[in-house]
Amino acid sequence: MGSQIDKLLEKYWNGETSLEEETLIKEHFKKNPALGNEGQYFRYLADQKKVSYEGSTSTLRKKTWLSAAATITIGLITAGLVFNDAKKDPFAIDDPEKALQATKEALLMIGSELKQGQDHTLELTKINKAKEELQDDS
Amino acid sequence: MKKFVLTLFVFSAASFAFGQGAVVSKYFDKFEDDETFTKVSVSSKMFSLFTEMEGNTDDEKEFLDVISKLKGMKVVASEKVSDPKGLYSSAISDVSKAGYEELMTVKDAEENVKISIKEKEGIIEELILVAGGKEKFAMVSLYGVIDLKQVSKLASMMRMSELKYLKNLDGDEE
Repeated sequence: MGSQIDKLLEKYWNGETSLEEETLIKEHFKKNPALGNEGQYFRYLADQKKVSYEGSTSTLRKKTWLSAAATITIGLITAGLVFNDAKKDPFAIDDPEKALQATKEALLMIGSELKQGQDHTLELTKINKAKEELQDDS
Repeated sequence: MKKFVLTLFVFSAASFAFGQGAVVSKYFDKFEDDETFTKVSVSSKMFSLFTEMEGNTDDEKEFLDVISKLKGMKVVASEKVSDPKGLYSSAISDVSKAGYEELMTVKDAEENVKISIKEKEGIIEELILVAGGKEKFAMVSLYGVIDLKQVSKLASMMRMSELKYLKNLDGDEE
């Protein structure tokens, strides 16, 4: 038996064994768990065959789901950006000269209001001063 | 999972960026088809173009200096509004709800003007002006770095000579 296995193993490492012969080798090592390195190798091969597909398909499905989610998210963001851009566009001024003019006018408007506010504050201080003086007099 | 969080972060950052000017955008949408409303938007791209320009006179240089720090501008305005008071008060409440701080209010017989700002570490990053008159209504918003001193200085330096695009926004009757 031992010599037969040795011959088969030699054939195996040369890559000349048939499937049946390989099964013979595997069964031999299965029956003799005490055998060394080569035994471990063949038992490992047998164990790997037992690994079922179920686990791997579920992770595969998970991955597909994740990538689908990612694609949808990216799509949504892009759509959102494009939509927002389109929403902003209709009133955007394309002519730099006009845009400059409009900015100028807006800034001047804000500036004049700011100035007006300051002037009013000045007036108020004046009035308050006058009031204080009047009160002091009385 | 990390990617997911990152995606969410990017998404929220993007929506934050578009959140700027959301108040004015609301009025853009509201009066989109209303021809009596002037709607103007100047993009950050346009402002980046302006930085290439050089002024000839002192006030032009000052003006360009101010706008070189801006990133965007939006204006909604109309000279004939059916309910300017209602529009003014709803705009004011929208502005304060959006987290703007009131800077100043000017009230006179002609109109009410309120300027509100958003500050970050002492720098004004957003400014909204809401004006409501007897018939007029205007909302002007600026984004970027806004130097109030410079802006009010501009107003005294330059004259409102050619009001072509934002007519009658200055509050003076023509």
